[in-house]
Amino acid sequence: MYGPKRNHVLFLFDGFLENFGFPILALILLLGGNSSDSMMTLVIIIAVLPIKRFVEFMTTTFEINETYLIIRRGLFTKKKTEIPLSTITTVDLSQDLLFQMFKVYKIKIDNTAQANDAANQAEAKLVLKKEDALYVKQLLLSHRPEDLQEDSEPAPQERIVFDAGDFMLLGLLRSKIGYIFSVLSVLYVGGSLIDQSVDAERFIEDLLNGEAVGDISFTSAVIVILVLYLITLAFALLTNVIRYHRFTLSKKGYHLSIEYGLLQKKKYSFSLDKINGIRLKQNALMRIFKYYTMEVFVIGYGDEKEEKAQETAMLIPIAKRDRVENLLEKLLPDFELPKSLSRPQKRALPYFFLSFRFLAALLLLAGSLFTQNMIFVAGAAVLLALAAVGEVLEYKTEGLSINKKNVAVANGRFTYRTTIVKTGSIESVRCTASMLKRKKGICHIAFGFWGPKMVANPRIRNMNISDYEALTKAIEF
Amino acid sequence: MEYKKLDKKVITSWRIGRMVFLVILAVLILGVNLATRSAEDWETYKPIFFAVEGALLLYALISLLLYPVIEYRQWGYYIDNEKVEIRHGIFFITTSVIPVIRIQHITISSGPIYRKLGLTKLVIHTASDEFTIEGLTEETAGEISENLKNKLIQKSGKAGS
Repeated sequence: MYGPKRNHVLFLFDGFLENFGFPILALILLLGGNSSDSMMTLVIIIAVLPIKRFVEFMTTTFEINETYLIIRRGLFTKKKTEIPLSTITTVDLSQDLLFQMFKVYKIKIDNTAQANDAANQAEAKLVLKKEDALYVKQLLLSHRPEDLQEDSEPAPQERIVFDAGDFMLLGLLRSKIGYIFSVLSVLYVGGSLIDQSVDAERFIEDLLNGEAVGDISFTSAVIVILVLYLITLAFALLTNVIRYHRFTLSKKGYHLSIEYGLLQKKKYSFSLDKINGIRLKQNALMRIFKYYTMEVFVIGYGDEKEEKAQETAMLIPIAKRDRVENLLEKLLPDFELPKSLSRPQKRALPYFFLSFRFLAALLLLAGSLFTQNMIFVAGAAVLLALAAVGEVLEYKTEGLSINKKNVAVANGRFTYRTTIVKTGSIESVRCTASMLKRKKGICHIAFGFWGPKMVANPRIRNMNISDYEALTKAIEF
Repeated sequence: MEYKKLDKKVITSWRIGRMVFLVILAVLILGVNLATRSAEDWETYKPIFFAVEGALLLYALISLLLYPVIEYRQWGYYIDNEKVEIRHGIFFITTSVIPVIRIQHITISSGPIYRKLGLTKLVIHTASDEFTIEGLTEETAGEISENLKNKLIQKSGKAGS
């Protein structure tokens, strides 16, 4: 049906900066110096790397027949990988700037083997001209039932575009530096007001007059922090806007696709039945403004390094709850936000403090008391306070909702997460507790579901045993 | 629902494993003491060193003598047509429920100590996790494995039809 064919010659330049950027930069830097030995080593590295890529280009061919995508590679050790078309979950097209100039696409193919350790064996990457790329994509997805095929309907039924404003808001609310800055400001001002040696009235007066407070010029410190913060924030906002430029979700029949990017264009598409779960996330700032980010769990989706690390990817960049609900109804009717959650009992609260984090902070404080160094003691006390606040927050945010359609788990300390999976995809349920805790009807609940490894085993602490029992009853036997 | 117990020989196997750990720990402690004995502040820190080492040795000794008995009491498994239930732990007891239909494959293995005692370990794999039943005789493990495979075939047949 197609091939055997080699990749497009631009395959040689795929990930050029990633592979050669550092050695070339090092070479440029060394050219200014006198270290001829190091320069020779780098010259060799830079010369050898393209040879390796060239050999890979020359020895890799692929073909598609009616049932398999067959990839042959290797110079000395010949390797043939046959991927059944029926197992292919996602076929993603992407272009960096160079590829855009030559109308060439990189095709990333993932199949169900991504769920286990054979993941890397089954993943395949091809580089092809636009018309070939589109044809190959069509062939690769041709094995799906007709109602699952992406192009089986002429136009998208739903098309949602998130604009630059959304991503600026996202950058603003997710900026860690902004968060740290806010916390520091609150701590500083709060601390100063509590401290008897600082007169609050005088402090504010000094602050307004731009005079030094104590030994430190508060105004200059604030200006430096503010300028740094604004620069970083502007950079984060710009990066976000470029990276997610025209983030578009479209639904065609039983297919969902996501497109975004200005310099690096990306397009992902997958059938809805391959979505194993969704996750809503809110950091502290987002909670204040009631905004959510939503990710999906699809094996093989997620090309960026940070996404790949978790095998999750963004579906809704930022939205308020009613918009999330509305989009879910339109795009993923198999998932819905929990109406209410079963929460841990009040008597479970002390058990939250039996965590490694809190006990370690407690030990650290005890240890710091021996040093008699007030800075250590204060640092350890702050850590302990943060750990305690974290445990209380976890107690407050935790919850579980079970129904025939979905199981939802909510948890998190400073970042609040709600993971929603299909009840039918749950493969195991676990309950862990000491004998005493069991007598009180409390246990940690964990369950496994068919999904990307990093997220496939959600766990909530100190829940009710009755919830565990309800969960075991709800799963399919 | 009554849990089935593991073979009693598993206590011996756990004890042998923990004995090896105790010996390694003792050798390490001896090595550390010999290496640091000549240090300048040895006399000052000696009590702290001995206290930590003593606590570690005591823990290893308790885990050698007492834990296997407790662990054996807690261990249990239950298999019916629909699910496998496994309970294990020493102080924190974990109960796992795995629907038979979710089992991907089963592996049976045994290390040198298990082989010597005629024991095996049965591992049940799902797509997202794996669950172990330890200390089974080869015969029991074989029976369970066959039994689960048959149930899985029956269930898959029903689901497919």
